[in-house]
Amino acid sequence: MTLILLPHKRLGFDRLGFNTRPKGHSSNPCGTMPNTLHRPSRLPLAPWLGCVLLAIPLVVGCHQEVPTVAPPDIATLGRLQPSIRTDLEQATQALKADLRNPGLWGQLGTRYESNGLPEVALVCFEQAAALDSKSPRWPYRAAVVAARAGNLEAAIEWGRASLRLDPSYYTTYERLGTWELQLGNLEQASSYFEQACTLDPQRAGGWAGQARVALQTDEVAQALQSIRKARELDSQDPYWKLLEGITLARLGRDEEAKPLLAEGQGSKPTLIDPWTQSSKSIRSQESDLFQRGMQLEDQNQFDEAIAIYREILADRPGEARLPLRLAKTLLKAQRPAEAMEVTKKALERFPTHLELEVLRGHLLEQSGDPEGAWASSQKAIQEHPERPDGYLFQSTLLAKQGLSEQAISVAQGALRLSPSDERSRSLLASLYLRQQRYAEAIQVIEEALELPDAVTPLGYYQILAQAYKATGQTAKLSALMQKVGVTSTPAEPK
Amino acid sequence: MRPVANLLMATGLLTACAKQPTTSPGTEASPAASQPAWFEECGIESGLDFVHRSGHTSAFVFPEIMTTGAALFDMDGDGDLDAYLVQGGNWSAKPGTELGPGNQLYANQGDGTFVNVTAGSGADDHGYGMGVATGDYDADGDLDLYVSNLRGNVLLRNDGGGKFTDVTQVAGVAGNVWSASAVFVDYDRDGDLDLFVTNYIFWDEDSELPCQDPPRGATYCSPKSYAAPTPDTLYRNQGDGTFEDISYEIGLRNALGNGLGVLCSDFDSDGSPEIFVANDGTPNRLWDLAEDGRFVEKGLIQGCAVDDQGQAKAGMGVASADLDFDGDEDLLVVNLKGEDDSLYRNDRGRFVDRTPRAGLAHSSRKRTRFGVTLSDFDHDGLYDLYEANGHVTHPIESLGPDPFAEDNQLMRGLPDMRFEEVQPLGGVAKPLIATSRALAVGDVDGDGDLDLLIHNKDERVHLLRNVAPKKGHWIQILVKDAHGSDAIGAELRAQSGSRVLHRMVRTGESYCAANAPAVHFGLGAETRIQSVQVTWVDGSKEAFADLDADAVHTLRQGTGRPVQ
Repeated sequence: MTLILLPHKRLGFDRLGFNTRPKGHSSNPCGTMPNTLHRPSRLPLAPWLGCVLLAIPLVVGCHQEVPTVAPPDIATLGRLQPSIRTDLEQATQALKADLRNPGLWGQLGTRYESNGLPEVALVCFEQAAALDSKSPRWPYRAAVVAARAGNLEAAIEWGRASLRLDPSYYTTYERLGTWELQLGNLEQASSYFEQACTLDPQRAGGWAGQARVALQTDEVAQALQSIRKARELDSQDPYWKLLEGITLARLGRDEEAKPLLAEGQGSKPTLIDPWTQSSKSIRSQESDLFQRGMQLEDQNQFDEAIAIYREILADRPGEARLPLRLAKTLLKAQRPAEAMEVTKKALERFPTHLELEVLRGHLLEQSGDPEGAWASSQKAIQEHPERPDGYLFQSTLLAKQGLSEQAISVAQGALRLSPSDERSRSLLASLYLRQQRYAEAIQVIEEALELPDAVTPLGYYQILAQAYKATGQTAKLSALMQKVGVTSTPAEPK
Repeated sequence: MRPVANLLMATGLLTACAKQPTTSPGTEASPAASQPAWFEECGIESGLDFVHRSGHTSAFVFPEIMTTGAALFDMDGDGDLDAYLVQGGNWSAKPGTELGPGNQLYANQGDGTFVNVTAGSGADDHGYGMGVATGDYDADGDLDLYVSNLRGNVLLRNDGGGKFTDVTQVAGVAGNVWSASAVFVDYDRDGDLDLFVTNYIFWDEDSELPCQDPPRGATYCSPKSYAAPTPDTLYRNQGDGTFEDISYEIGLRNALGNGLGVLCSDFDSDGSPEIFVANDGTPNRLWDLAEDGRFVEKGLIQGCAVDDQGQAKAGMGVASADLDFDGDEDLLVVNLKGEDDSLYRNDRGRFVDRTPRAGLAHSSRKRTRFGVTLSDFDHDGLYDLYEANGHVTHPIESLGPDPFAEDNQLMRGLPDMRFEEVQPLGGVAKPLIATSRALAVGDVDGDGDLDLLIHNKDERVHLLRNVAPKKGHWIQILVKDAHGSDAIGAELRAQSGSRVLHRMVRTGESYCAANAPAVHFGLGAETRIQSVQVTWVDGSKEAFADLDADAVHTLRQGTGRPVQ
């Protein structure tokens, strides 16, 4: 068995001078054996023989087997969710069939990682690396989970080990740069990000990393340059707009920053990392059934979604969101009677649940019981006076009865409670449109565009477009249509 | 040399082959037993026998993990700091029903020991408590209490002599949402204290969700599970004992969040305070009063809403101090385990996230932080950092019988806005392992240095008496306005040697806590403050000269030299 080249702080492997050969060369440090072994025979025999004699135990030693170790003992891990315990037990059993298989150790490590146990995953990846010293992936995976476990120093050592085996994996440099930055080692962080940019100048992550380092040292102009480079390389990702906005704001260039901040708000950095893709895919396969139900709903597979919600509800009757979701899906599936049954039963258990009460109101209204619907709206308002939902529902009831002024008044109350609530604004603006109170409709929507966190739904633009058209504000209408990329003018409001 | 080199190499190889290296995850340096402690825990000995009860039984119900608050304030005007501790209890009980013992009031006997004076005080509110704020809203010279609760907040007017009256209904400040931290602040500079309340989330029993946290299973939810952020509330003091909720008119309802921490400071030095709100999982907010009298939210554009990667974090506690001595207060927000602190350096109202460079990015990620303070504990002239910690979900390994308990962390301030961890851990000889929440700061024993009162979930409080080896001198300044009240919102600029020390008079900081109002500076080698300029809330300025170190001074409005 080959000698394993692994980093370890205490043993100080690096200090022993074991540097991985460039890619394509053997990483076996036994390959760094004194090259006297390979010298031509014309050299003096005595020292030559001495080196050979020295070398033999080394070669033997180097080819000592990595000890066979048992997998982590699940019993020592304390309380685990039953499904996770079963998952880990299965993976452990598979490994026990061949304890010297680095791939199986890696799979077990991936299971531990996916199930939120990075410390144990690290043990598995370490063993995989010990058994397969040539693959850069095991030390890389060890680095990633070490970082997740909060041990950045170990993560960096493992990351460096992976680089020694494969200096061409871009993401390693990104991660190492991030970890060094977290440790406050700005120079080292900068070096790794620079190496990433050198390795592949067409990828954005290294440039973004350099920007982060530059911001720490107040080199804001340089940071902006780096961020813009990242944005050029990946112009579709709103995240780079967010970072550019932050940097421009730092320079006091607020007017340039604001639209970028608005567009990028809520976006997150993405890391292209095929070497950890397997752990992510496992997590997505085992995602919550509830999420699965929502996916089916999105695909208009309502019957299948309903079946899943009923199954979960039977297991988890104490969760109000489940009957709420089930009822809404039944309604979408045009099964209102069943939706009502579910809603009523849920309200027996959760009598003051706002959304359930509003849903009941909708169902009563649809079933031709306007008094019942009104009572629901009143109950929702009384029990939750600080939430707009009850007021919004009541406003729609009033509008349907042709009581427009009252509907507007109640919608104004809803908006006052929550000015950033899109539903409140859209409803009030729509009510104004119907009354041909275009100026007020425009004011309601234009105010929304000035709010912090303004994420502008298409509905706002549609309302504005109708109002601008009705009031002959053609210049504003053209500008608006250009902004949203619309070519045809909206129909007149009814 | 070659054979020698080969021999050395061979020896190294033998050593290398001999052992399979492993990484010990989470290995940290062992506490240096020989390092002197900075604090001694003396809660029981001092008479603070308060034990918090979250009401937890078997289910994990969200409010249990977020409670609760503490205050250090001089309730009876005798010159020492008394303690007010907020109780949890039975979260499912309806308002008005009697619960357990309620909040507790402890009077300082003048030497840092306490006696429980709750009975008959009127301060024993029985709501499911979250936090407490102190301020003299009625300008009668003593500090009143505002207690935030899960349902229905309470205003307790201080009637003097350790007596309080519940004036909530008269004042109109009950609210109807789960509230967290609150501060008294004269936002409009009209001479009376208004009240800003952070609201956490729209929550009631029926909306409670059972949350899972792989791999442990059932645990407490996070606010993201509910997706129900709320607007905060501003009550304007009408000067007659009543308040008006002006949240909508002033623009506060324009932005939602999961507010937990709040702090006021004049970050941009424009003469009026901004209100910073730390939000849990949503962007932080920085409210700035515009000329039209409405608040404008500027967190994102000013650089303190998110971190340097543009990400909102789980903002809990918040602290502020002029760490780089450039005349404006910098900002620190503490966050969840796995997220580092957010240390924002203030550059004339623009903030830059300096957390990595400060040495906080890695060390702070290991724990979930709530209570926080930037204070000079060892009087070397640099602000130190103390963080009170406790999990909100099940950790992989527990440090004790309470699975949510963690140790606290003390960081020594270094030049250039950097910090390094102090050993022994948390500055105490034996680490304090508890689910810590609120942290209040003040000189409890009157010896000139700052002590800490830490509120722990389902545990007794910890009183940490400061015993740090001192590296310099200190000064404490009580700043009193024309009414004789603590001049909350006044700003101090003190010349000490070649440095200008800057601090705002405030009690609201940290998480759900109220600190002592006295301004404390560590002076290092300096033995006096050459001059102090106070900018009062009404905008007037006065100068006071020559204050000796190692003493408590009182500066009263109207007794200094007016400054143009």
